[in-house]
Amino acid sequence: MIRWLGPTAAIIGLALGMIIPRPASGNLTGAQLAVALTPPTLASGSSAELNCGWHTACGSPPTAGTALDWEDGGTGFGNPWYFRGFFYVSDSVRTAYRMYPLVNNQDPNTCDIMTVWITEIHSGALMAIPTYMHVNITSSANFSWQGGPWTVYNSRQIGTTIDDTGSSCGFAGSHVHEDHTSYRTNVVTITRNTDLYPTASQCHTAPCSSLGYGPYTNNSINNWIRRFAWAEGVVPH
Amino acid sequence: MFSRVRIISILLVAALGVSGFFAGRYFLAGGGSEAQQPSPLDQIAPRQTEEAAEPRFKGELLGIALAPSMDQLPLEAQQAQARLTSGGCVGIPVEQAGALNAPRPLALPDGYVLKQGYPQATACSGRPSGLEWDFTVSGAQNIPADVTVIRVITRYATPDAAASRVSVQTINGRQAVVVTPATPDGLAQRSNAFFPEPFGMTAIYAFNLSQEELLKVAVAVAEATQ
Repeated sequence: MIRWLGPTAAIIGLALGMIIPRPASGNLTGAQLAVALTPPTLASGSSAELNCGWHTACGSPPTAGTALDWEDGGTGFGNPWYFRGFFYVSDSVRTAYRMYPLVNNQDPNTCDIMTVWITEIHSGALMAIPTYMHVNITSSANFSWQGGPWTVYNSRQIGTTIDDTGSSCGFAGSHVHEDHTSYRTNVVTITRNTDLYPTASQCHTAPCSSLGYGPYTNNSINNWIRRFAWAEGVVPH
Repeated sequence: MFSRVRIISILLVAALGVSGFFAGRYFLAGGGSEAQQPSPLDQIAPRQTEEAAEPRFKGELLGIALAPSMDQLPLEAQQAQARLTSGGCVGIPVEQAGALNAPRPLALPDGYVLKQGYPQATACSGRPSGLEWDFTVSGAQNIPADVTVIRVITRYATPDAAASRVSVQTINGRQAVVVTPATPDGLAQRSNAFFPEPFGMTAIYAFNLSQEELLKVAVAVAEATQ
C-alpha cells in the first residue's frame, strides 16, 4: 500500500494547489516596478536642450504645470522623438512592460497630442500615461520591454515633430512638449524631478542651458524627468 | 519508535505532496511571474485595423470641410490654413478673445473637470483665432478621457474617420456634424462634434470617451452656444 502513498500525495497536493484560492492579493507578485522617463529628443547619448521649465503653457508669463519642452534639434520639423527611460523590476531581469502608442488628437486647429500607455504584462493593467504634444506617431505598433536593475535602459522612436501652428494652438518652433496624465494615483506613485529641472518662471526662453539649466544627457538615470512606481499586480486590470 | 525507513518514507510522501501543491499553483499562474495576461487593451489594434479598412469620410457637411488629413481637404481650406498660420499663432490673454466666448457659460455634466490653465486663447497673425477649454473625465474602462472644446474662426478639421461614423444630427436644437467612436465604448478612440458658427465653428474633440458621453457633452455645448 505504501507504494501508492507517494503518487497519491502528489496528486492531492497538485489538486489542492489548484483549488485552494489564493489570498485577496493573489496576483500581487511582491515585485516593485518603476519607469523613469528621460528626455524624449535626439539620439540616445545626446545632450538634450530644455526649452521651458515645468509649465502648462509657456507664454510670457508662463503658467506653472507638469510639462517640459524639449528642443528637437536640427532645423525645421520632422525630427524624431523617442519614448525612453529606465525600467525597473525589483526581483529579476524580465519582460514586464508593454506599451501602446496612441493618437489622442490630430487636427489643424488644435495642438496634436500623442500618448504612450504603459501596462504591466503581469496583469495587463494600464498603469501610466505619459503624453507628448506637437508630434505625430509613425510607429503605432505595441511593443514589450524588459525591466530589471536601474541600469536597464530602453529607447524607441515613436514619431516625429510637426509644425503644429493652428487656430487654437499657440506654437513657436519645433519641440516636444512632454507631460503625463494623472492616473491610478492611489496605487501609482508619480514623482517629478523638480530638484533637477527648473520651473517655468526660472526658464521659459530657449535654451535653458544659457541660464545654467542643462543640457541633459538623455540616457543618464540622473536626468530622469518623471517616475511612475507601483507594486506589480496591485490592480487586476 | 518509527524505523528510519518509515521516517524517510513519510518525509518523501510529504515532500511529494508539498511539491504537488506548488506545481498546481505554478501551472494555474501560467508558468510563473513572467506570465503574460491578455490585456483589455489588446483589442485596440484589431479595432483600429478594422476601422481603417473602411472608406474614409471626405467632404463638406453644414459648411464644414472634413477629411482624413490636411492635404485631402479642399484647396480653399488648405489656402485658408496657410494664410491663417503664415504670421504664426501665439497664446493671448483670454480676455482678448472675448468675441469667441460662448453666449452662455460652458458647463459640462458632473464629473468633467476643467484642466489647469484653461480656458486658453490663441491669435494667428495678430487676430484672435481660437478659444479652448480642455476637460478630463473618467472614460472607457475608467481610463481618463480627454475632451477639448474649441471655438475657432476656421471651418475645417481632419477627423480620420470611416464614412459610416459621420452624420448630421440635431442636438439640443442645433445641427451638428457628429463623428462617433468606432465602437460605442470609445476605448482609445477619437470622436468629434462640429457646430457651424457665423465666425467659424464650435468643435468637440474627444479621446477615450463613449458615444453616449460624447452626445452628453454635445448637448451641453449646444446649450452654451445657441
